[in-house]
Amino acid sequence: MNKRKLAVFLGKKVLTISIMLFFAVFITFFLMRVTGDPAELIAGPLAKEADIERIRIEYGLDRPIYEQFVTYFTKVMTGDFGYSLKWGRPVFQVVTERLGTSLTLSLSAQVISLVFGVLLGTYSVKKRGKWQSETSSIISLVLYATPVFLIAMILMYVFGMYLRLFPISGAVSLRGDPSQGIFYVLDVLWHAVLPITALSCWYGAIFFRVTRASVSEVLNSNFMLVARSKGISENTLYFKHALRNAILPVIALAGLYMGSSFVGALMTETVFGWPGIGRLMYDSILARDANVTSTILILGSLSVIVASSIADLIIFLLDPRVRS
Amino acid sequence: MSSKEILRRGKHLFLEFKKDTGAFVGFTGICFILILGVVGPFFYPYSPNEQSFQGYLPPSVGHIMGTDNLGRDLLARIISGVKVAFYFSFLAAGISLIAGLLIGSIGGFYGGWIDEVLSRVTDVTLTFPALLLIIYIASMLGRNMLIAITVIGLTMWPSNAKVARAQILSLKQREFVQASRVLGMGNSRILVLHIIPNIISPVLANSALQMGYAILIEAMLAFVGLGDLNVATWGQLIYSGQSSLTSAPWITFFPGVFIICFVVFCNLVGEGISKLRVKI
Repeated sequence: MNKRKLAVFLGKKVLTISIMLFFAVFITFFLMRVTGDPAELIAGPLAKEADIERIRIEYGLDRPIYEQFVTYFTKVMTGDFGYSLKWGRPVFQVVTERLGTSLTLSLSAQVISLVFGVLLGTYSVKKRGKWQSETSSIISLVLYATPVFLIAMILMYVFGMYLRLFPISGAVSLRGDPSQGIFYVLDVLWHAVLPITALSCWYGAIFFRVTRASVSEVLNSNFMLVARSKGISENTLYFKHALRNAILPVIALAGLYMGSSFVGALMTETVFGWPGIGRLMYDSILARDANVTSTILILGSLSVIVASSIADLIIFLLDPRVRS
Repeated sequence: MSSKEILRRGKHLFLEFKKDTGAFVGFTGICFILILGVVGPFFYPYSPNEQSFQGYLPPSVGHIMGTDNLGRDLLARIISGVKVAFYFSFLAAGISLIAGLLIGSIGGFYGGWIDEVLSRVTDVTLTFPALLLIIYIASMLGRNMLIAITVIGLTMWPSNAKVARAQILSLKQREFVQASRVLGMGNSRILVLHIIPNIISPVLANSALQMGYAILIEAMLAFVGLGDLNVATWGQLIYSGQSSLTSAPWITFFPGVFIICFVVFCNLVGEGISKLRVKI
């Protein structure tokens, strides 16, 4: 592959990422100022007018708005997101603590759903017109139409409360201890089964539907006709030739869905009491902790920007049509 | 177009639509829910806010879907939620349709720097996680349904804009556009009279999907406790049933079924429209 093309591509991507990041921070800042007076939020509901005024001056909120934005932007760039009003600690610390547990959940759900969704989607096209295809498309439609928290609640009800196979809340058992090594890991995995299943069902339905649409579109192209006339087996035809050409939109979509993985996390973590970013978001909403919620907002869009850039890079490396 | 012409085309459209089983099921389903919401309150004996001392009653002949914690009839509340669901889906999808069509078609049609700017705006909006945004705004500004609808509409439009733009790019070099230019029509006239009618059906198909999606977002919003408390939406009902999931699962179950059905129907209609060969 041409190295120069790759360099140009990466340069352009870095530029777009920085522009988009700037806008993400800008919109967040704008929202923070539009939706309420930060000085009043810091002071709390019982504060006197004089106190609010004092806080306003102390925090530099009486300065011109563009000056405030420049300060905010430079601080965000250096990783300083201010203090959490609820926890009284730096937001960065609070968020990074929770990031790991959330990523365990959403990344594994994404990988599982991507594998299953893509394979089943292709299989469903291969069996089109037969009952396998019809049933799987109905199931995927229903799963897509079910709010993810409802999937989580149903799983919790059936497997957690009725069959009592899995724990219904938390990430570790009450007596869980990190020093127990492999047992601790197994314990966390045991707790993660239901949340991951709930998330995977939701994403899986989406990936399934996109893969199916994309593969059936590829079926009509000429190279598929050639491949078929060469006499290769059906499995190679669908899972190699068709899928390799059809997977690109799925990858692009998976990049975009990284952002909604925060949303999915919010829903499942709330149902299962999983101590991650979603739960943090939920608690911060209730506490009206604007610093934390806005940080998560920036983090959410950052993850979409980065993930879709990675998706673009993968597409660039895989598809010669994009490169030329 | 005369009224007779519209009737003829409508009939043709309907017959074409009827051939597609999925789309037909979706369409009748949505009509059924709509009729339930409009006619239901006049015939159903319970009012949605009427409380009684018989809370947590399981489904029976008297209360078809049981009662909730305050003894309010669940079916009556679901029926009153139909109206809200239609508000939500139509208004949000409508805002998204208008904004998307406007931005996508202007960008695609005029090209050049306008297109460049509008495409960037679309990309930036697309990367902003819609639900996080709505949750943030709802948590700061309070639980207002109209604000929620507007924000949902204003975050959903990028996909409409992308669809419209792609369609216009392939259409604007076609003969009929050149012909109308030769006839002396201005840009805006060509756009409104000749191009938009030709690209509307994929955008409408996407809008039907978005109607369902708006309901899902509303349900999620209600689930985080940020729904409008003055209206009994389906999401709100699920939220209120969450705490009694073990003892009274029907409070969660029935509104959930309605949400799932509504979204499935919307998707079926959307898929039906995109398969349709007749012009709308």
